[in-house]
Formats: sequence, structure tokens, C-alpha cells
Amino acid sequence: MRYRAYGIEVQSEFPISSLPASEGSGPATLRLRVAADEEVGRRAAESEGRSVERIVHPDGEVGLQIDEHPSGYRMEVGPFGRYFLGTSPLEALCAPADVEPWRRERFLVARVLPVAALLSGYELLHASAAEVGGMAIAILGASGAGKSSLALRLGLAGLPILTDDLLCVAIAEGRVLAHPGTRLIGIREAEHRLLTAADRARLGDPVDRGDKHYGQVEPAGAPVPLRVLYRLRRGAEADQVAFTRVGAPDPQLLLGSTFFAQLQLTEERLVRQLDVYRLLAKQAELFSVEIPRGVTAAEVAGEIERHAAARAGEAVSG
Amino acid sequence: MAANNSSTAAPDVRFVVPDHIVRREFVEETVILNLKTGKYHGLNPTAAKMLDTLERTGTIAEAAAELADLYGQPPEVIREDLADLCEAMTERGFIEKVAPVDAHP
Repeated sequence: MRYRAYGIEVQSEFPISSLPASEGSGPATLRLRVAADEEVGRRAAESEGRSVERIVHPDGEVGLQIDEHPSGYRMEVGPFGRYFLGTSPLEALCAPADVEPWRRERFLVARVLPVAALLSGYELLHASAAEVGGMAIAILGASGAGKSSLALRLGLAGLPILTDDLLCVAIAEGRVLAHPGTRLIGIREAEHRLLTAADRARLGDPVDRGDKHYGQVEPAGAPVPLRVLYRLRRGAEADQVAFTRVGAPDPQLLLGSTFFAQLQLTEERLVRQLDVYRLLAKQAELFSVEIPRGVTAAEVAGEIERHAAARAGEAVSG
Repeated sequence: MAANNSSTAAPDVRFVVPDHIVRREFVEETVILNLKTGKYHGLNPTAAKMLDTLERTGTIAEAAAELADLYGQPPEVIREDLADLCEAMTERGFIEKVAPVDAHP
């Protein structure tokens, strides 16, 4: 089975429902193979690893662990499986073999594929993003700021979604292009309660996966230039959603929004990252979105869609 | 490249930007990336212009003459500012002093 996400062509031994299918016929960038736990363990044991991401729950249980090895990355998330992403060739061993498909898929699309994209020359911003009028808009904010809820509402409004959490970008022909991620979209319980029956049907009847509900939205079909960045500011004194043009995105904001900042700290990546952000600062506008208390994600999404459509119109006429 | 650790930033001392220093100009500042440490630093446009000029001319004296024309300031004032900046940038490893050729046998 062949898919395309985060800019890379994926050849998989097993179906992945949340990835857009690809008709690509050339060699795949990444191969996915089901493997026994022992094989993943053996690959990781071949060399010493350096911990690059680790999340420990309040009860002391390790929720997520990513170790960088000379030959690749060992990744583990409690009930969602264990992986070894080898770098040469780029191949992910996925274990255990008998895990429920959605468990494997959730971590695969949230971490394994983005790391593979990073290793393939892309950069990752912690942002949700959608396509408006032929350009990409990105929504920046810390975890819990409402990025996913806005992506969900923009998707329900009919906009093609690029990602709900990790935006994959790269320079091509002098522009920073935003590449589509996956169909999967995380939905918080509070947002899930507000969904109408029609919304739920459009999202493929979102399923409860423990800490979150997950639905599927229509992904953007192709990479588009990233032109507008929105930074969310909640609790504003204003009585309605307001947009303030900040100017160009500054390097602190962009570097601070980098995902997997501790991975692959090679000279090549550091320079590439700086080149992407320098170009983005030249080509994109940054707006602060002041959001008063009590305004719903659907209302904010509507305002962002209108604002972005106007920016897209100006870009065309300009 | 031969570098020394002399603390004097005399006007005729030659400076170079080492290979492990990468810089990119953003809209309102220049970001310097030190590839040895992986750390980023910001320079305001005036400091960035001074560094560009110093890299091109090589010495504080030559850079100060050029910048004095640009900013309409007396060269001695610019020289003083440049010497301070060079000291700060040398400490951070953004530039290195190059030993004069005749300082070695």
C-alpha cells in the first residue's frame, strides 16, 4: 500500500486509514514493516541511544520515549507500540505485530512519520494549518491553546486541512511550502460534546481513544505556500475576536515553535532550519488573534477563515 | 586559520568570521548560529552591519572608516563602538582575531 504524507512517499505492509493514498510509482521514501518486539529490541541494542524526547505521566509511567541511535530512532509509547526507524535505508519496524490497528496508526502518524519527514529534509512546526485560497495558514500556540479545535472547525467549514498539530514545511523554488499531513484529527472532550450529528457524520463518527476522540477530515491535496501565521491570545479584553498585524514572524517565535528541536542536531539540519525560517520571515505575515472569553472555537475559526480569505485575495490582487 | 587570544582590539588587528558561525538576515534582526554549540544569538541591524563590514574589510580601522561615512559619525566614535562589539563577539566566538603573518617565524 502506498501513501503520501508530510512530504514523503510511504510504502506500507499494512493499511493506514488516516493517510492519503498516493499514486506515486517511484521509489518510496519510507518503508513500513511489521516486526516482532525482539527485532525492534535487537536493532536498538546494536548501539547506545541518546534520549531526545521523554514524557513521564504523574504516576511515574513513561508515556513516550524517543532515543536517537547512530543507525536510527527507537520510539515507544506504552500501549501504542514500539518502533525502530532505521535511517539507512529509511525503514520503520513496527511492533508488536498483534496490536490493534488504530493503536499502531496513532503513534505512527503522530511521531514516526514526522521524524521520517525530518530525516528527509523537512522542518516541522508545532502548529495546525489549513488551506485558504491557494495558500496555507498556520495557527501557532502552546499545547492546549486550541490549535486542534480550530483545525477541526476549519475542516468542518470545508477547508482542506494540512495538519492539526505538526506542520511540515520545506523550501521549494524560493518559497516555503506547507505539506499535507494526515487525515487524523484529535478532538478534545469539550469540543466533541459540541459536535452536531452532521458534524460527527462528516468526521467519520469520531472514536474515543482514551484521552481524546479522533475523527478524520479532508486533507489538502498538494503542498501550498505558507503565507499567514496566526498566534492565538486567549482571554483578551476585547469584546470580539480581533486581529493585530505583528509584522514578520520573528526568529524567536519560529525557533520556539520548532517540533523535535532536539532531534538530528546536525549542522545540515540547523542551517536548513534557519534558511526555512529566514524565508518564512520574508514571505509570511504574522497576526496576533485576540480571543475574548466565552467565544467558541467555531466562531474563532469563522473569523480566521474570513480574515485569511481576505489576505489570500490581497495576495492575488497584489 | 590562525587565531590568537590577545584581549586587545587594536584598530589594525584582523578579524575573521570562523566557518562554524552561520548567520541569516531576518526582517528586524540577524540570527547567528554557532554550529559548535548549536546555540542561536540575535544581532540588531546596526551590529549586523558592523559585523558585515568588519568581515569584508578585516580590521576595525578599515571598517570604522567605511561606517563613519555611512552613519555620518566621527571615525573615532565608530572605532570605539566597533572595538566594544568585537570584544563581545570574540567572547561569544562569532569572530576570531587572526595573528599577523609576520608574527610567526
